[in-house]
Amino acid sequence: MSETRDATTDYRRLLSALGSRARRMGSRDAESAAQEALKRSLENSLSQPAVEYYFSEKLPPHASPPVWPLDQLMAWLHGVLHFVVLEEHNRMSNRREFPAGWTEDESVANRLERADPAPDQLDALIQKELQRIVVECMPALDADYRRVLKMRANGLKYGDIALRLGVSENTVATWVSRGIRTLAQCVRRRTHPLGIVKPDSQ
Amino acid sequence: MESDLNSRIDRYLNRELDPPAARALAHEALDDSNLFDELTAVALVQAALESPATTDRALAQAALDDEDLFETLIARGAVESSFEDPAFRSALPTSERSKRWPMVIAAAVAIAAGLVTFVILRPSPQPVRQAAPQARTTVAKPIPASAILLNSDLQPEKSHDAPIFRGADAASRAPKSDGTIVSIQDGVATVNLGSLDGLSKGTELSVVRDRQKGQIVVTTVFRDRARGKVVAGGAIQVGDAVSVPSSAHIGAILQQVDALAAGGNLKAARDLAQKTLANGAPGETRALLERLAALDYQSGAPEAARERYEVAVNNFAQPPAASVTEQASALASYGALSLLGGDRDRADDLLQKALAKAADPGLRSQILNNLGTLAEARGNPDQAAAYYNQALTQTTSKSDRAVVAANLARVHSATRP
Repeated sequence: MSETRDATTDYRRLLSALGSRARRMGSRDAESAAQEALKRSLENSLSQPAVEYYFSEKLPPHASPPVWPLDQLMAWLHGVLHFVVLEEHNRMSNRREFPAGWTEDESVANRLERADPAPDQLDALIQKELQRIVVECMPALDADYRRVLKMRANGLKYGDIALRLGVSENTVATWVSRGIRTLAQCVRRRTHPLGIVKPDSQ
Repeated sequence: MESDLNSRIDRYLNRELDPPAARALAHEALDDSNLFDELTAVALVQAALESPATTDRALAQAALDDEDLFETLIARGAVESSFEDPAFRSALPTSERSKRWPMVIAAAVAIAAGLVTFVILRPSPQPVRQAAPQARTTVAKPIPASAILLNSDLQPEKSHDAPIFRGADAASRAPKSDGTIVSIQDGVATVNLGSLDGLSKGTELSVVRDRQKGQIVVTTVFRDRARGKVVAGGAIQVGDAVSVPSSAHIGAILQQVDALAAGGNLKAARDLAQKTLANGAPGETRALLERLAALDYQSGAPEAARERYEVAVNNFAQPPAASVTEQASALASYGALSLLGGDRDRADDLLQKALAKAADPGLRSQILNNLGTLAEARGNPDQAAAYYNQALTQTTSKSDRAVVAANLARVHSATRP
C-alpha cells in the first residue's frame, strides 16, 4: 500500500500524462489504467531502471543511466498502456458473464483480474502496432525519405547510405530525421482522433 | 527556443542525447502533453523501423491472419510497390482496362507475400508440435504451385473469437454433462451447472429421481450456476441429478475446443473433441467431427481430416439431420481437402454438390474459386477463368476477392502469348 502511494507521488506527472493518453485511447477509467501501466512497467526488470531514471521526480545521487534509451521507454509505455486499455475493454465486453454465481471465496477483484491465457499478448500487440505504422504510414512518405529509412531499417550506416545515394551524410541525417518525424505525425493522427482499435474490431 | 527543442528531438530520435539530457527532455514532456505525444510517436516509428515484425516477410505472414492488415497492405503499400516492379508492369494486359484492377490486386498480393506461394488453405501458423507442412507438399503436385484455395472452415479460429470466459486458462474447467440441484425455493431450483456447461435461458434440464422424471426450464444463467423453474416432477429435491441436453453439452465442448485451438493448444483441443466424439450419437456430434477435421488439418494431417469429413458427410441423415447450409459447408471442405490430396474426380463431385446446396454468396465464391483451381489442374484455363470470374462476382470478402483475383491473374498470364 505504501509502495503504491510512494509511486503515485514519485510519478505524479507521469501518471497524469499516461492518464491523458489512456483517456484518448478510450479508457473509461484512465487514472486506473495509467496506474496499472506504471505498475507493470515498474515490475518489469528491463523497464524499471529506465522509468526510475527518466521519470522519477527526484533522481538519487549517482544514479547510473539505464540500458534503455528514452525512446525505447516511450514506446514501451505506449505499448503497456495500450494493452491495459484493451484489457479494460475486454473486461467490459465480457462483464455480462460475471454478474453473479461465483463462490463466496472469490472476490470481484479476483474475477476481474483473471489473466488472459496467452503470455505473449503484449508482445503481439506491440508488433501489430508497429506493423500498422509501417504499412499505413510509410507509403505516404516522400520517396527519398522512404528510401533512406528503408536502408536505415536494413542496418546501413549513414555513411553507407550517403555513398549509395550520392549525397552527403548530413543530407542523409536530415532525411532520416524528417522522415521519422513525418511518420510520427501520421502515428499521432492514427492514435488521436479515433483512439485505439476497438476490441470488437480486433 | 523552438529550434532548440527541434534540435533536441532530432538528437533524441538519433539517440544522440546523453542520459541527463534525455531525462531533462523527458521531464519537459511531462509538463507538455504535445511534446509527450511527439516523443512517443517518434519512439514508435523508431521501434517500427527496427522491428523484425516489419520486414516484408513478417508483414506478409501477419497479414495472413489479419484481414484488416491484409487489406491495408494491398491498398496502401503493395499496390504502389507493384507499379514499381517491371515484372508486374509487363504482366499487365495492354487492353481490357476493366481487368486491370483485379490484376493490380493480384500482383500486389504476390508481392506483399514476398512472392512466396501462399495458400490461404494452409496448416496453422500457431505453434504446432507436429509436422505441419504436409498439405503444402501435396498441393504442389495436383494443382498449380501458386494456386490459392479458399475455405473458411479449415482455417484456425482467431483468438478473439474464443470467449475469454471459456478460455483454457487454469481458472476454467471442462464443460460438464451432469450436475446436481443445490437448492430449491418457491418452485425455483438452482443447479451447479452454468454457461460453461452450455446452458442458456430456456434450456430444459431433465431430472431423474426414483425412476420418475422431472424437468427444469432454465431462467437465469451464470458462469457455473443456473436457476430454473421446476415445470414437472413435484418431488424433486436438493441433491437430485440433472442432465444437460446433448446438444447444449456438445455446443459447450465446441466452444472450449475453439478456445483451446485459438490459444495454440491444438493437441488439447483435439483430445477434448475426440473424447466427446466417443460418447455422442453420430448426428449430434457431426459438428464436432467437422471441427476435429479442421484441427487435424491445422495440425498437418490432411488425410485424417479428409476421412473425418467423409464420415460427417455420410452422417448427414442421422438425427438431427444436417441442414442444407451445413451440408454445403461440409461438402465444400471435403472437396477442398480432396483437391489438395489430388483426387480430382471426387473433388469435382463434392464441390459441384456443395455449389448446388450453397446459398451464401461468400461460400459460393469460395467453392467457385476452388472449382477454378481444379479446372486449372485439369489443364482447362478457360474454364478456370470462367469459374474465377464467377467467384469474383459473388464474393463478399475483400481478402477472398484478392485471392480469387490472384488466381485469375495467374491464369491470364499463363495463357497470354
